[in-house]
Order: sequence, then structure tokens, then C-alpha cells
Amino acid sequence: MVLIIPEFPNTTIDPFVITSPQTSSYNCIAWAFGDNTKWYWPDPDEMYFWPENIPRTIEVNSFIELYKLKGYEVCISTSLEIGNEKIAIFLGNDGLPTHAARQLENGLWTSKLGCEYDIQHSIYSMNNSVYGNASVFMSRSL
Amino acid sequence: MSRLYSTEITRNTGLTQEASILSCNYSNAVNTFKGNSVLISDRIENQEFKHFLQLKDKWKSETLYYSSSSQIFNNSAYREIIALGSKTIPWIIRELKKTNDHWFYALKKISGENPINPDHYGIITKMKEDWIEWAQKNNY
Repeated sequence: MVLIIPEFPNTTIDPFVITSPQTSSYNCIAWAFGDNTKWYWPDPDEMYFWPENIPRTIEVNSFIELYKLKGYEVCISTSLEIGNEKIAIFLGNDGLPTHAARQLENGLWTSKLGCEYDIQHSIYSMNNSVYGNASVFMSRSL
Repeated sequence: MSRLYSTEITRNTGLTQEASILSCNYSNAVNTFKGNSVLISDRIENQEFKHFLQLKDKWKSETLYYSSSSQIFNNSAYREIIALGSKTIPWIIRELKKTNDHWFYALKKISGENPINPDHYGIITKMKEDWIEWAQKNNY
């Protein structure tokens, strides 16, 4: 089922495709490295999971450290590379992290939309949205 | 003077002292009846519950796509629910039993407590169980 959402204006040209049932058990930050068991966020109230050895601060470096813990390193290219798995961290207009997505073997990306479903999409379809834009890319060997 | 209800006739003339006393006593009698009336207190609670449901639906629709705790918990409708106070706790617990919605911050703020096991942070189903257990222990 395709999804065109006003909060994501580029979906009018390049819609999302829903790939899972709705669940609020995990979020995009977790799904980016394949975890569908927890909600990851460095909230000051400690409602959500965040690794103890990573600063519990809502800033891009904390998220980079999280994904380094999972074996990713910062890279420049978003191009599909056989044998490598890439993720993209989205930053809002205020420069703060909002979302993360993981690249699939077909070159498209998979994301968890908040409390909704998993979707398959392009980077373009998710840019210029309530998530801001894909700004930091990381890669790890498969 | 107590508040007059629309069932009372109001006049654009000054009231005598005797009339003022009668008017005040009448309004106090209405308020007393209202306070003791199960039917009226149920009706008020139903209206408040409906308001809670409207706020809940608004919060959910406005935060559907967010992962950020600040966007989820600082949503204006969510904050309004928190401001409604402890009467919402049984309603929130009822919602929590049906869904995995993220009511945890609201419950913490309203109750002043946090029964979540630190090992359960981020595991939504476990956090939910911790709060439902708390509610049972506290007779909600």
C-alpha cells in the first residue's frame, strides 16, 4: 500500500510503501540497525532506552556514537555498495536528530515512521519533511 | 453572591436585602443538590472523559510520525491531559491496557511516581506492565 502524507511533501511525487503492521514498540532509531524490540531515544526523563556509555543528549554526536557502537562509521556517499550496509541520520532545521533510515539491498531505504509502520522509500521522498533532511551517513560491513 | 442558573428569573432592578438573601440561598441550594447528585456528577464526569478522549485523539494524530520524546511529550494536547490531573489516571490506564501508546511520561507527571524498572526503559510492553501493576496496587 502506498502512502502520501502531507508532512512529507515529496511523497506526492515519490510515495512511501508500507511494509509492516502498525506498532509503537520500536522507533526509527532502533530500526535503522534492525532492532524491533526497543524505543531508543536519549530523553532526559529516561523513559526510553539509551546505552549507558553514550551521552544521553539529543545531539547528532550522540547518535553517531550509538551507531558506531553498532559497527557503523561515518561515510560520504549514499550510493549502494555491495557488502556494506548504510544508514542515514536526518536532522531538523535546528540541527537536531529526528530520524534514521537503513538502506536496503535494492538501494531503497527502510524506516519506521514513529508509532506507525515500517516503510520503504527513497531519500528524496523523506527529505524536506517534518524530519528535515538526511544529513549524516554511516556505513558498516555486512 | 452565588452564581445564578438560567432557571432563575433575573431582573434589571436592584434587589432588596431580603430578595438578595433569598437569591443566595436558592443558588446555594442548587449547588448543594448538584454536588450530591449522582446523576449530575456522572454527567460532568462523562463530559470530562469525552474531553480527555478528544485530547487523546488529537495527541495521537499530531505525533504519529515522531520518535523524539520532546515532540511526543511536549505536544499541546498531551500537556492538557497532564494538566487535567489525577482524575485522568484511570482513563489513561484503561487506554494503556488496550494499546501500547506512550502514556508513561504523563502518568509519571500526574502521579509523581515512576514504577518502571530501569531494565525496562524503552521496552514498551514491559513499561506498560509496570504501570498496570502500579495501578492495581493503588486501586486504579
